[in-house]
Parts: sequence; C-alpha cells; structure tokens
Amino acid sequence: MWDRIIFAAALAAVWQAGSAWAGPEQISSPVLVVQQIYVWIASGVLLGHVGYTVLEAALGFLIGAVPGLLLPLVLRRHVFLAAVLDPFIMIGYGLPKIAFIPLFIVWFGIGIWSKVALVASVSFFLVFFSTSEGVRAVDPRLLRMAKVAGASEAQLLRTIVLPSATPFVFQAVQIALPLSIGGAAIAELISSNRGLGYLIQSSAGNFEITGALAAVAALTLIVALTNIAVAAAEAQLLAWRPQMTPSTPKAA
Amino acid sequence: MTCEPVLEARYLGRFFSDRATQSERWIIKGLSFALHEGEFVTLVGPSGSGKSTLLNLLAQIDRPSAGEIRLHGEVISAPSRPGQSAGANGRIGYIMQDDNLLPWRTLRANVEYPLQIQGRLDASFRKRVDELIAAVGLNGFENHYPHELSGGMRKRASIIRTLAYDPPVILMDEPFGALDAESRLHIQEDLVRLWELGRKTILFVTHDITEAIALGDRTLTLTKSPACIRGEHLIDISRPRSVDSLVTEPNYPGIFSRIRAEV
Amino acid sequence: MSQSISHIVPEIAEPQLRRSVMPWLALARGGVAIGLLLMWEAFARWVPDLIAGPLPTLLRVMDLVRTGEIVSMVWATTLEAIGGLLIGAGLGVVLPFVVQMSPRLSAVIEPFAKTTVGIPKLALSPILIMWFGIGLTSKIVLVALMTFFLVFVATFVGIRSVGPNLIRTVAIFGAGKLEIAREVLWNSSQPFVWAALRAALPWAINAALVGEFLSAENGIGYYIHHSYNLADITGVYAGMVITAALVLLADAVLRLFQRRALAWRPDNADQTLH
Repeated sequence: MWDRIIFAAALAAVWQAGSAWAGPEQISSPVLVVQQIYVWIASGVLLGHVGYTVLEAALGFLIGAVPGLLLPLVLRRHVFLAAVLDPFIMIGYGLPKIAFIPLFIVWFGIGIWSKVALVASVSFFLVFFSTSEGVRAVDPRLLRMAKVAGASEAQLLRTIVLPSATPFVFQAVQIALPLSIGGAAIAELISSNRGLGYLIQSSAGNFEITGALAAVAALTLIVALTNIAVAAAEAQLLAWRPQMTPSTPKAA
Repeated sequence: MTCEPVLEARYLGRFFSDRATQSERWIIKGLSFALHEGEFVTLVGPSGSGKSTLLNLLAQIDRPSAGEIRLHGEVISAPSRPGQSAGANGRIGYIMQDDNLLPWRTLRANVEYPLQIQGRLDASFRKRVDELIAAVGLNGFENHYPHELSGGMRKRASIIRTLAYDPPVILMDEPFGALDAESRLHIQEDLVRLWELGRKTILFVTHDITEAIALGDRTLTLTKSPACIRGEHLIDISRPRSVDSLVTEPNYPGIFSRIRAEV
Repeated sequence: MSQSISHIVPEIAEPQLRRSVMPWLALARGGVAIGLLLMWEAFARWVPDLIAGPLPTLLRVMDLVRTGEIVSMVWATTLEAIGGLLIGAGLGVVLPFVVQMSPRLSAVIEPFAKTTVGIPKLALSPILIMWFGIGLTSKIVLVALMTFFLVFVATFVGIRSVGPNLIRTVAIFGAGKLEIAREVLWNSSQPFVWAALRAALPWAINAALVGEFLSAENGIGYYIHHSYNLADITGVYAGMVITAALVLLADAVLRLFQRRALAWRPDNADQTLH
C-alpha cells in the first residue's frame, strides 16, 4: 500500500518538477490541474459539461444495449436465422465506428443525437456478442431438465437462460460503459458545443493545456466511478457465483 | 556399489507461521529416511499429511526449517545453507500429479526439452528419446501437441520426459491420481517395466495402498500432522508382478492390512 | 480484471445446422446482402443530401484508385497506425516481462495500469497535437498510447495466468529465470497477446483517423473530414468504405498470423479475452 502511495507521489512530483523546468504553459502541473477542476466545480461549469456527456453516453448505451440483449434471446430459437445474420453482425462489429463520426454528424446534426447514435452503435455489438456467447454457454442439461419439468419458452428464458448469461452480459457492460463515455467525448471533440470532449478541444484550441488536462482528468474520474458502480452491481447480482471473473481463455 | 544412500533425509522439519495465532505450525517434524541405489520406495500417508510438502523439500523447491537432506552423502539442503537450485542441477527429477507438458511443444519436443536446456541433446540422447517413446507405445504421436493426446498418453509423455534426462533420483507425487482405472493399470505396468530396464531410484507418493504395494520394494507410512515416518514394510512379492492379479498373491492381504492399520 | 482487458474479439460460432441446409444458408446470406444494398440505394434516393448511394460511392472509390490518391491517403493512415502499433504493442509486450521480475513492482504497477486503461486515450488527441504538432508524430504517439495499455494489461494477465506447477516443473529440469521467462511465460502469454493485438488493431486505425479528423494534411481521416467540410457526401462515404475495407483486411491478415502463431492450441479454444 505504501509502495503505491509513494509511487503516485513520485509521479506527481516528477510532473510538478518537469513543469517548473519546461514551463507550465507546456505541460501544466498537478497543482494547476487540481486548481482548475476546483474553479470549474465552484462555478458550476464542470457539472454542465459532465451532465451532457453522461446523458449522451447513457441514452446511447440504453438504445444500443437493450436490443443487443434481447436479440440473442430471440435468435436462440432460430438457429438458421442466426446463422444467416452472423457474418453481417460480425462485419458490423468490425467496422470502425469512430471513423463514422462525420457520418453520424451528417445524419443527426452536431447536437446530442449524433453522439447518442455513435454510442448506441458501439454498445449494441458488444452486448450482442457477449450475450450470444452467454446464451450458447447455457448448460444443455439444465435446459433439458427444465423442459422435462414442463417449462415454457418464456419460463426457460427467465429461469435458466438469463441467469446463466448474466455474467456474460456484465462482462459486456463493463467494457461498453467506459467506451460509451469515452466515445461520447470523442464525438464531442470532433464537433460539439458542450460536453467534456468539447471542453478538451476548446481548451486545447486556446492553448490552455491546464484546462485540457483537467477535462481529461474529469473524464477519467467518471469512467473510474462507472467501473466501481458496475463492479458493485455485479457483486450484488452475481452473489451465487463462486468466482467473479468470467472464464479466462481456456488452456489447452 | 556403496552402502551410502542415494537420497537421505535427517530429522527434516518444515513449519509455516500461522498469522492468526502468531504460532508455528509444523507440517513435518523429525522425519528421517533413506533411499538406496535402484530402490523403488512408495510412501503412503493420510491426506493432508504433508506428502507434497515433503516432496517439495526433497525437490529443492522449498527449504526445510530443520534437519538436512543429503544427496550421495553431500548435504544439499539445510536451514543454515543457501539453497540449491530446484532439482539440484538436474539430479532430482519430480513428476507431479498434473502432466505439466508445455502445450506449445509437440510430444517429442516436450520429451527433449530438459535435455535441450541442459545442453545434452546429442545423437545418443535423441536415440534414447526414440526408445522411450516406443517403450510406452507413443510412436506415431511424436509430432502431436499435448491437447491432441489422451490423459494417459500425456501422463506417459511426462514420465518419459523425466526418465530421458536420467536424474539419479525421481520423485513422484500421486502421478496417476487423475487417470481412470483402466489407463491407470496400463501405465502402472509401463512404469514398472521402465524402472526394471533402468533401475532408477524412485520415491513414489500415493494414497492408494494397493498401488503402493504393486509398485514398491518398500513402503513407508506417514503419521498424521506433523508428519514423520511411522512404519516401514518390505513388499516381499516377487517381480515381475502383475498389477492386475496382485490380490491373488499369498502375501498381499497381510501387507495390505498392516499398512491399512497405520494410515 | 475483465474491464482492464476491455475488448471482445468475436468469432463466428459454427452453426449447428445439418449439411443439407448449407446451400440454403449461402443463398439466404446472399439475399440479405442484396437486401441491404437495395435498402441503402432506396435510402439514398429518399434523402440524397444525407446518403450517397452504393453506386456513386463505388465510382468515387474507383476514381480515387485511378488517380492514385487512394495510395497516398491509405499509406499515410497505415503508416500512423502501424508505426504507433509497433511502438505501443512492442512496449506493451516487453514491459510486463521486466515488471514481473519484481513481485513488489508488479503490485505497485497493477492499480496504475488499470487506472490508465480507464483514461479515454483518444480524448488526449487535442493535447497530443499541441505537444507534437499536426504531423505524423502526434498520430503515432496517439496510436501508441491507445494500443500500449491494451497489450500491456493482456500480456501482464497472460504472465500471471501461468500455473505455478508448470514453472516449478521447468525449474526442476534446470531452467533459470531467463529460460523460464523465454519458454514458459512468453509462450503462455501468446494467446493473450494475440487476442489483445486483434482488439488493438481497429483501435489503432480509429486513433489515426481521429487524429486526422482533428488536424492533418493527408490520410483517410483527412479525406473524410475534408469531404464533410465541402458537403461532399459521396466523399465521406467513399472514405468510410475505404476505412472499413482497411480494417477488415488488416484483421484478416492478423488473424492469419494468429492462427500460425497459436497452431499448438486446440481449434475450439476460446480466443476471446474476458
């Protein structure tokens, strides 16, 4: 523990010293960044930008993740349809969504909806693939047992498939949520007039390195808080599992 | 031939500190025994009796808290001495319960690996590897990767991998524990046959009394924790033994019940 | 741990279908493909300001090929992506081997590595452009940052995943620390490294593109952004089709290398990272 604190302090000290040497207008300094964040919080500026970015991320995530979660459950019973769609969804996943930002802006304007569309397109595929994997990983013996007991498809989904797939869904959420926040901010970099990404880009545009770094720090903080929240939710929901990490790559 | 034991443990002890009670918990205490040239000794003990701890000490993976270990009379391990390298420079082989094959090497490359890192892989050792592979019926599978082999085949490969580099002493820690009864029987017979060809000195740990009797010249038993040697039993059943029909040997029931009484 | 490795590399699941339906499967997939193209065309006719049809897009790409413009822009972007990937992934593979030498150092580094993985690196691009200029360097640094953490954490986890008994067994054969690192840790971490590389590759191209959107003189991203500024929707589409082709092609090539490097693994081994 002390090792870590010393290491963190050393990093900050090196940065501070470097700033004294190279000039704060070049690389800013930890003290300046903390000051800047404080000023922004006090004036309420930060909250507005944070709220905007989080709203984009949350809306986009919901619009993408809900179909991404439901579609594999439907396709479970339609093996042929799933096989037909598979390569298209693969390509869709592989497409570089960040490169499509200008397109989203053409379609949905420079306001909130172009960012929501980007985030939705990123989260859909992540959740879809992870949930599909989870649905495939359901123990067939459990399914047979439930069928013999007379469970309907809806009961089967609710009592067997969904609980078994939950760790996989969480895995996708863990990946998709930070990417959603980051993705929203990146879209804001390219064209926006609000949000943390806009704050980074406008500060950098005015050669205010401290402002840009403070906005990145705020973004990192939000991502870290999201990760903690997801981990807590997972611990709550998956208390029945012996081990928290989904399967590691299977050894030969 | 000398009377000097190949491997000897004298008053060996190992404790672990118990953080909760701030005390020392002895797993092994005052344990002594000797292995002589060409002997196949089996060791039986109740589960949790420190068998693996003992083997780790002997293999030089772990250091003793008390006592000493001698190899050909030379002290190789004692609390006061700087430790030897694991395996005492290739002089002690150790076959564990998992096969521990390197999954990215083919069967042949796995068997050759110890020789390769010891810088001894020449034409004569290559021939030895060929012979060992043939002796356990793995010819034709030399270029297969471990995941392409059955559990029994992997186990055979891991045994001949250690035999190939010819360490004077070989330790085995319940090596057949994970196998099904059928392959276990075959591989036990293979092991005895290999041993009779080369007469290595072997210490074989198991919790299966029948296995201990089938394989060993002598069987040692361990006490409950902290472990030391409780009894010693000569297995006076003539070789070659058929593992399958061991129970029909007249001496078998007596030996079995005497060992059974101790563990 | 899972959020730190952070990307999923999906594989097409072997469809559990009878052989006899296979021709129908191909037919159905072809049908869906044609259907998607027709939909694209229909939308293009409906809102021509927002969507360029498949044919004009294709013609524009062919134009770019004929004039040779495509070569210079693909080259610029590829150079940024590959240059950054070499630096980022190279350090990401090598550093964990240095760090693992000291358990104490590993324990110190781990939480910091996880925190830095959480920083949206692409958000740093305006700052990097301030520091390194609008040329090649800032994009290479951005790509390197983007890919370094992915590969670093995956390699680190790969090294940590090696069973202690495998290391002990090899040590008993007489292997020293260096030999153990070279033979056991290196090979064991390969599946993790390759999965991370495949996850990192699209991000390398994405990062290069974001850098080019923000400020550049060449590259696919520059072309897309420039077309966007000229309200040349066909140009935007052509740029994106080229990007998509580049990403899919690069992934196919990487996949080939991955197959070769990991030939020792069972075919059905899960190559995704969790």
